Formats: sequence, C-alpha cells, structure tokens
Amino acid sequence: MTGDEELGAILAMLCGDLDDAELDRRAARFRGALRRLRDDPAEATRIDALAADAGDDPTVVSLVTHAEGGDRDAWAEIVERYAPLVWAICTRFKLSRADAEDVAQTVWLLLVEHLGKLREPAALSGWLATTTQRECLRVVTAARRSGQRGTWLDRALQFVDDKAIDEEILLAERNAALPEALAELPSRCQQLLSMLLADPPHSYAEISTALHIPIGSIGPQRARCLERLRRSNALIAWAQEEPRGRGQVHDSTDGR
Amino acid sequence: MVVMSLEEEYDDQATVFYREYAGRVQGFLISMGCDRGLAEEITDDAFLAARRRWAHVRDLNEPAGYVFKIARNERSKRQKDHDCRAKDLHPDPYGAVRAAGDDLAQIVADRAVVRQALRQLPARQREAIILRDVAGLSEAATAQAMGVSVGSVKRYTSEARQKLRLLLSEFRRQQEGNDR
Repeated sequence: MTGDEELGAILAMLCGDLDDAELDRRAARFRGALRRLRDDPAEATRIDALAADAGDDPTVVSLVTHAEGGDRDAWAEIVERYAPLVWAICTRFKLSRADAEDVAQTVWLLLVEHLGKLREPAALSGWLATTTQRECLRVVTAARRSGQRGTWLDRALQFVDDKAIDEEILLAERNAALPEALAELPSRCQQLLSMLLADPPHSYAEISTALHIPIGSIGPQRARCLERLRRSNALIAWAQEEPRGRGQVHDSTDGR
Repeated sequence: MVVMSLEEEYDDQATVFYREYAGRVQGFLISMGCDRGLAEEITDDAFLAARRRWAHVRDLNEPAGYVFKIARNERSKRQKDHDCRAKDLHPDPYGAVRAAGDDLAQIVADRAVVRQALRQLPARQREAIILRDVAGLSEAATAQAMGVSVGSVKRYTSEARQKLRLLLSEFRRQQEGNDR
C-alpha cells in the first residue's frame, strides 16, 4: 500500500511551480494588464463579471459565517459594507436623520437575532433591504398615527408601483380603510394579497403551491390586484378626506 | 515628495499576491485538464478580478481561496469536463519504466499514473485533492474555493487519496509482475 506522504509528494510535484525568470516575466505582464484595466472600461467590465459569476459574493458568505461564530471584525465589516444600503433605503423613504438612525439600529439588532437563520448567507443584502424597508414603513406609519396622514398617503401611493410592493402593502394594511378596501376585491386577490402581506411574507413558491398559480403569474396578478385596491371605493373615499392624498389617487385612476 | 496613490499600492499588493499564488493556480488548472495557454489566461484573469475587489479580498481569511474559486468557475465555464478526461493520457506508463528501470523513470511513471487516476475521480473528489495536495491550499481555502464546507473537503480529499493509493499500489504490483 502506498503511504499518504508518498502520494502527497507525487501530487505536489504535479503542480510544477513557475521558476523565477518565468515568474518575473508573468508578473511584468500582470502589471501591464492592470494598467490596461484602468483605461479600458470594457475589459474592466469583463473582469468584474468573473468575480460576479463566481457565485455572487464569496466575501459575504465568509463574513456571515464568521460573524455568526462571534467574530467582531466580521461584524464590523458587515455593518461597514451594508450601512450605505440601509441608509439609502431610509433616504428613499425620506426619513429624518434621527429616524433613519433608529431604523438602522433596529435593523442591525434584528440581524443579530436572524444571522443564524439566514439559509443562504449570500442573500444577506436582500434580507437587509427587505427588513430596512419594513422598519422604514413602521416609522412612517407611526408618524401618520400622530397626525401626519397626508404625508403618509403621499408616500404610500408613491411606492405602490415600485418593486418593493410587499412593504407598501404592509404599510397600507395598517390603515383603517384597508380591510374594507380588501373586502371589495375578488377573493383570489384577497388571498394573494394576504399571503403577500404576511410577516414574514410567503415566498412565491409557497404562494404558487397554496393558490395554484404559476410562479410567473404571481407578479402580474399582484400588480392587477394592487391596481384594483387603489381604485377601491374604500381607499378613494379615505384618501378624499385628505387633500394631499386626493390628487395622487385621482391621477392614478383617471389615467386609465 | 512622491506620494503613492491607493490604486498603486493595491497594484503592488496584488502583484505580490500574484507572485505567490499564480504558479499554484495555474498548476491547479493544468491538473484539472486545461492546456497551458488556457491555464495562463484564466490565471491572469482571476488575479485581475481579485485586484478589482482588492479592498475586500486582501482582508479575507483566505484570499487564495477567493482567487482559486474564480479560476475554478471560469475553467468549468470554458472547458467541459469530457474534453480533459480522455485526452492527454499516457499511452504506456508501464513500458516507460521497464525500458529505463531507474528511479527517475519510476517517478515519471508514478506521476503519469496519478495524473491518469486523477482524471477518473468524480469531479468534486478530483477538485478537492488537486486543490489540497497539488496546489497546496489549506482545508479552509479549499472549502472557500469550492463553495462547500470544510467537512466536505475532508471527506472528498480522503476518499480521493484512498482511491489514488489503491491505484498506485495496483500499478506497482503489475509493474513488478511485468519486470519479472
């Protein structure tokens, strides 16, 4: 029987290291390629794609793994990397600086609790984006409760066409008018929206199974249901109580 | 006063990194069946990609794992496994040894056998043992390069070593039989 060491020696020889002269030549060529990379955006794009293709971001996976194991540096790096993302979302919701800071703090605390449950560490940015939006909406909703309804409605409707629609519905859900508005919708829409409204939201795969809708049709159906929701008597009536919101809703319905 | 820009500093660091690992990345690619030209090209591209993200890569626990991972993915995109399985097999490693009969020939023959045997291993075992034993990566770096856990790396590697050991001793028994 051949021993491990002997096998190791044979395998190590297969590598065939570059000798010094070859290495010098190659390193010089590498420097040349680095310079070209700076002047040639097309080449830079091609090279960047290699990293992206390597299974999104291996950096994130190792950061999450280390942070989960209690590595403070990994934690600091995650916060440093993703703070701009969290901040950008807060800005989109036009939060005040103090509110944005509150939201950011809440998001990081939630992440501490959630880190071990991230099934796919590479999905970290998605999780952070969703959670931040949800927290932003919570703040915006709280502001509305304390009497700033018009501003709130502006924001709510402004986001209805946006991709991050789940959170917008979540926001609207807290509106007293919404249950009525939902009740006006066909039952399929009610089912679909209520699944999308669940916290945490159901995945498209779950919705597809539960409601027997192909995954590809969920998006379009959701859009149609939302459009009906916006046109519902309950929501329009509610919006008319508030002059600033009225224009928005009428624009979106008159335009059809 | 000469002030080095951050970009230049990164270029220098990336070049040091290149000098340390380029040979091993290339050795990995060649052992995986790339011809030399393709191996050189993919190696350089992988290090350029690492340089583009240098601020992150240099702080990784396993920066080598990162560059191997890019090289590995690029190879699997540009070269299908069946291309490198069959070709490039030594026609008669036994014959070479019997003709020469000295230690050098034994080494050459062993390497030829191991190369052939590598090509017959299941993809993941083959990749793991080449990264660990040919390119000399740590278990953690290999895990990062392959996108699997350290436990899986251990399993793949030990399975691969066991098979290679068997094949190599089998080959030597045959060889002794032929020599008699």
